[in-house]
Amino acid sequence: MALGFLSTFAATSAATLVLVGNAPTTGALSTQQDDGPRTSWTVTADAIYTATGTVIENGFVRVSDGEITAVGRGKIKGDFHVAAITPGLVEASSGVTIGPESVEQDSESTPHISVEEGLDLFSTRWARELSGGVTTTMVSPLDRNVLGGLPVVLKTGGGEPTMDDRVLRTGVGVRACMGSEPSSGNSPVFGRAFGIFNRRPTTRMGVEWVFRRTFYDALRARKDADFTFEGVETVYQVLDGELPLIVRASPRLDIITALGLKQEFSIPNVVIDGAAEVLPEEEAIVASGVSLILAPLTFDGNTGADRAYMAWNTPARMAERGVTFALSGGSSRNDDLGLALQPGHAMRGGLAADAALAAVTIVPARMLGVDDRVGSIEQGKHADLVFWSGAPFQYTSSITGVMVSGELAVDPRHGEEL
Amino acid sequence: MLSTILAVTLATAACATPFTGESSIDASTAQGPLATHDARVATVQLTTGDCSSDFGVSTDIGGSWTPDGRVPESGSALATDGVEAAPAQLLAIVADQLHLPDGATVKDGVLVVRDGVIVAAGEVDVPEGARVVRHDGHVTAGLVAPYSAGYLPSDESNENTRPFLPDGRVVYGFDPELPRLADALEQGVTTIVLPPAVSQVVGGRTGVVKTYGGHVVSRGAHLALSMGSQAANVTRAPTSYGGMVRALDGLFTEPQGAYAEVASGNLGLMTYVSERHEVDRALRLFARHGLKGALVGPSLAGELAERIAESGCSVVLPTPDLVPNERERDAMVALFEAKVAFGFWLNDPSRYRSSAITALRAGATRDDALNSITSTAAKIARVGTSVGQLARGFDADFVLWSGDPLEFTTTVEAVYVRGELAFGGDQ
Repeated sequence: MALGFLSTFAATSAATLVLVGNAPTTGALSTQQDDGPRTSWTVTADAIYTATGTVIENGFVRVSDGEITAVGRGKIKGDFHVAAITPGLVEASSGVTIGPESVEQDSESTPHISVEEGLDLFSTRWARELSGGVTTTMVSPLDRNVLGGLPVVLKTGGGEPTMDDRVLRTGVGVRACMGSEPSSGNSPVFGRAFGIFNRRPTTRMGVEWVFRRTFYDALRARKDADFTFEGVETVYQVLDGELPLIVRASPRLDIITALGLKQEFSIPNVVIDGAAEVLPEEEAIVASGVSLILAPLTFDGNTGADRAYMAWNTPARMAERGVTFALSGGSSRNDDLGLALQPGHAMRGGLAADAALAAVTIVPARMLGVDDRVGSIEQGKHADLVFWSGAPFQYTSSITGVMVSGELAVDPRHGEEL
Repeated sequence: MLSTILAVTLATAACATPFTGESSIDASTAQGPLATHDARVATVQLTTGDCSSDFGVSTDIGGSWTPDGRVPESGSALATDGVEAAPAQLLAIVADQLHLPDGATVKDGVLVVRDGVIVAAGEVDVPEGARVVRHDGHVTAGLVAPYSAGYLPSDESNENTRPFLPDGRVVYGFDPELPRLADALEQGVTTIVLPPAVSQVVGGRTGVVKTYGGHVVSRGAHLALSMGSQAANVTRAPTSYGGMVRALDGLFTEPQGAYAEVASGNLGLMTYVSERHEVDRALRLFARHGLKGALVGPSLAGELAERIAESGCSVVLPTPDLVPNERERDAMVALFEAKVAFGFWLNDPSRYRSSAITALRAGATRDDALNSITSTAAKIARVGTSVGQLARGFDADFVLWSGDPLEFTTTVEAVYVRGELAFGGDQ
């Protein structure tokens, strides 16, 4: 049961409550809205893992109109009871894009174009993410460009499938990609030139050249009033640290390149996404101050991203070295390796339970700049909750329910009347 | 059944003679140098000097003349038993059930046609001297298709070297001899919208044509956009939805030319969007620039019915299955309930009328169902003031049905285009 697992968390004392809300009396527990799905609840649990360093035993979470209004300890009557609650998971590297239509390949460097128009909010993949416990995700343009554009952070459910209801934040960073992906499928002209692929990079050398040309052009544009290019303002923001550079780099050689580019252009704020072969460059990573979105941990260590290998102790080691990192299941093509299982893998590799929880909730929320609204169970935040049958992230536990913005996307009340 | 048919209307000096009880038809609806005639009379097609220079709205390019320019003798080849002797210029259809624009059906209604134009319809007397066709069945306006696929010679709809071609006009690729037009005509379809292909973002301007006689109703009814994935072509810019939207945002910000005409409402807007996220993207673009128009292609559009209704857009649905699945049916019902104007694609002409029957079965009113392939379709096509209704001043395009057109067992017995028997009738 959950309680056995509690001891592995840093904060186990029931005295360290985030907030003791006014325990509601029975009757009039929650109000039912007139139209739309119900978004007000009181849920009780054996253990609430708040991701603020606290675990509340025998507690409750009270939700009104989609927001958490109280978190506390106390045996009260709620709408339903579950074994454990964690915050909704935050996926920092989601693959939920439409496909090639999500990135403008007119040029291989389109830092200023947002992926927002390339989203399909009606895709069934959102529901799949949601049933896997992911309530917030960052979506980037498909990695077909060297500088692919601007990702967005959005909810996977709740309300209507409209940008207004779903988008949490734009202007999160600029997506870049090292490695083979921006060059795959391109070819030199043999015979008749056809399409855009003839003039795109075909090698890592070409990919790096496109990146460096864009940044050197931006440096030149700053000094030369007569010289500019589309998207230059966005590159300025990266150079000034206003927008993080979120750069995809999985194998060791690409991580070396990404760190080199950070140094070459003095880019203050860099996040390496899909980071896999991290341990061989551990010292350089620590010295550089970059944050990491780790590639999905897989059973055999092969992440599938540029055939990069990642050891299971990578998250534990990064925690030990004080590197900020998020876990991710996004690049995985295998649903069994989704985000909800990543903390389990990481703990098996030696990561502490509270750090594992944080790495799929509050840490990625902070990285994406949405920790004011999601990422932990605290008063005033979105009611994004995952309900578990036992201790979260254990192989023997399963997700029994998911709440997003107060709506029960997956209902944990088996057989009960809704 | 057709008891008699005599379909000859002539443009002669006599045309100007008003018939009893009605004032003379408006000069603007009297078509230029026009003489229609029965298809069985051998003629050649000539284009008059006037018409060739400008085949704009409701102007002939296919007026028919005898080789010497003389119109055929009245009734010369056509007199059959029971035909009353009558001057050629007036045709009266007396129908057991005549469908009028307001949804009313008049028993023994009379449709009076002169010079290819309806001059009266409803409970009116048969004008003296008119040639009379009695029809023991229903008569409706000729069917109008607000969007067609495959009615231009192959590849003529797709200028694939130009992703943005706002001044292109597909009507220049219109071939009146295309055999498929006759297939559509035989199913009662008399007017169709020809769109450019959906593989370019701005494919050009739609054309509106008749399926018979080579008549062009409009050579530029809409600017045709495609916001479907087909327009995000990976071999040229734009390759993405983001690139497409950026470009369109640019074109509709302080718009010029065709884009300005669309913004001012002088030119229609027809936008291909097949998936719901594409509808959503189009609606957001329209909201930013104050645009509205027809959304073509989203079979599940009804799941966004309220937003579409708010936008003022109409919807042209792909041909539904005869018995649609529950989800598609629910989506259609949502469109009906939100009072969104809807029509259907024309691809297989034998299934065009059945789209309206499917709508009726799903819960549309009889009026909405029939209008979806006649008057509403004509409005979506932006030719709603000249075709799609049996009303004074409208083109005399109509269909003689064996029974209720919203019954599967009903067949087409005759089709008239601009007062001329174009298909069927007693042989």
